[in-house]
Amino acid sequence: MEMNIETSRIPDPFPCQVWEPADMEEAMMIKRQYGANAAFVAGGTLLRTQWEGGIVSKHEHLIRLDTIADLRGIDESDQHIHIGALTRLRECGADMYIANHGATLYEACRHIAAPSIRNQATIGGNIASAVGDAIPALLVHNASLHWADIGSKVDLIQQDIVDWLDVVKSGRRSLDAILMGIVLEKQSTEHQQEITFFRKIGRREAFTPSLVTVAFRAMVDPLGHFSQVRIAAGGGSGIAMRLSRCEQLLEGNRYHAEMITSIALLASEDFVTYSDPFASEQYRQQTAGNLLAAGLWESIHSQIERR
Amino acid sequence: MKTTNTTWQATVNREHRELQIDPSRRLLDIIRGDLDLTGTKVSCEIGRCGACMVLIDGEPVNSCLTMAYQCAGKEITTIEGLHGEHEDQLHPIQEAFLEEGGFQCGYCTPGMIISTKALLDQNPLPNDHEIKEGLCGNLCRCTGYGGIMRAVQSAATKCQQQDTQLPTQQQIIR
Repeated sequence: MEMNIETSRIPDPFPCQVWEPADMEEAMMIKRQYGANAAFVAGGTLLRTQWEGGIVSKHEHLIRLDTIADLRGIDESDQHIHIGALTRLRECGADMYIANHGATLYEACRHIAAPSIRNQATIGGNIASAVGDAIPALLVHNASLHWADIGSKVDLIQQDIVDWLDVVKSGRRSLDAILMGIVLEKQSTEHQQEITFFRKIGRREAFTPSLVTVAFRAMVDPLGHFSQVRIAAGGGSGIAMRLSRCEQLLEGNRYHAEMITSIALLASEDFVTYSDPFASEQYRQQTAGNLLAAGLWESIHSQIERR
Repeated sequence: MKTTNTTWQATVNREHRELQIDPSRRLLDIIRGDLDLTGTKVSCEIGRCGACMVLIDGEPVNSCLTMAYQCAGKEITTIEGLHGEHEDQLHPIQEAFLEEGGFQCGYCTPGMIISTKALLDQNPLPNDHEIKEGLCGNLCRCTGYGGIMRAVQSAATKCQQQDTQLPTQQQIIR
């Protein structure tokens, strides 16, 4: 059948070449060749908004990551859950392995952006942005990240997410690295109950970028003692962090009502964040404390009601 | 090493289309600029408002964030591709938006209807929370959300009353 191929009437003022590497080596080779003129692209949702907002100039070369095999999908082993970096947020927010062993991440992925964005955006892109809302959730699940980076050959690196965030904060992050996957630890819940929650506050009720996010995970034994407490806060364009003093307040102790006010105050003191035209640093700190206290109170009381 | 072909092809509202374009061109620009399908609207251009919502293989996607290579070879449905049993009839969702006053200026309406189509295809009888979640990526600057909520509820009922689930992607684009 004869096909009529039309030419675009409005030529793109900044055309770019889109590369389809078959594997990591090819992707790295293209990046090495074009350097800062080339960008890796997964779902591309953040990249497009950055181009549109003039935050970064349009790249002359795009290196697709979706053409590389094995970067998508979720697998379970005895001790870990492995999530391919190109797994879409929608899939992460619907996956039963993640729901069972990464409940906070599961919740986070269900609250990032709108359904249409989650159909396209990937978990890897959310993390690689360094400010994605999945990051606080990954902090409480002791996640590690698997990267490929440019060396004399392709170097494969496994890195605890806390260490990676330290590198980001210090400004020493490699912009040439490709996130390949995320590994979550499975945790034994024998004789204990796991409490998890993820809370997000934005500038309005509907889908909006976050101002503050809080993630919580802990085990509670039958006598009400907390253990393995992990608490993290982030949101907006701030770098997420663990709230160590809040964790220490609960660790090994039994729940009592005064903990709620104490943890709210501690969180607002410990959370390192920033001011912008939409929200002051103080507002974000106080909000983090309130989200944490409210989440803890709700979780404990729903546990009591279930007994 | 391979680069993406500049010949883009996809099925748009049941019709096979081929274009010579930059593979990073926005789907929004292809639809409106190259294919003259101007029912899909341009607004925020950063994926926040949903005015440019289309279906790609039945899933709602912001066409302002989608590049040509990401939708090549796929089935794309714009607001012009929705209709009732016959091509000159309104789709039950479109009827519901008209009857319930689910629009004021109407600029957000194509995106709202596309998101509603995706929602009801997945969940034929959504509750209020599910409707809000399904449409949370669509903004109405006139703030006519009351009418929009009623329209989605009514659309769900209409489709149920027809004793069929909403037509599938293949049925709609006939």
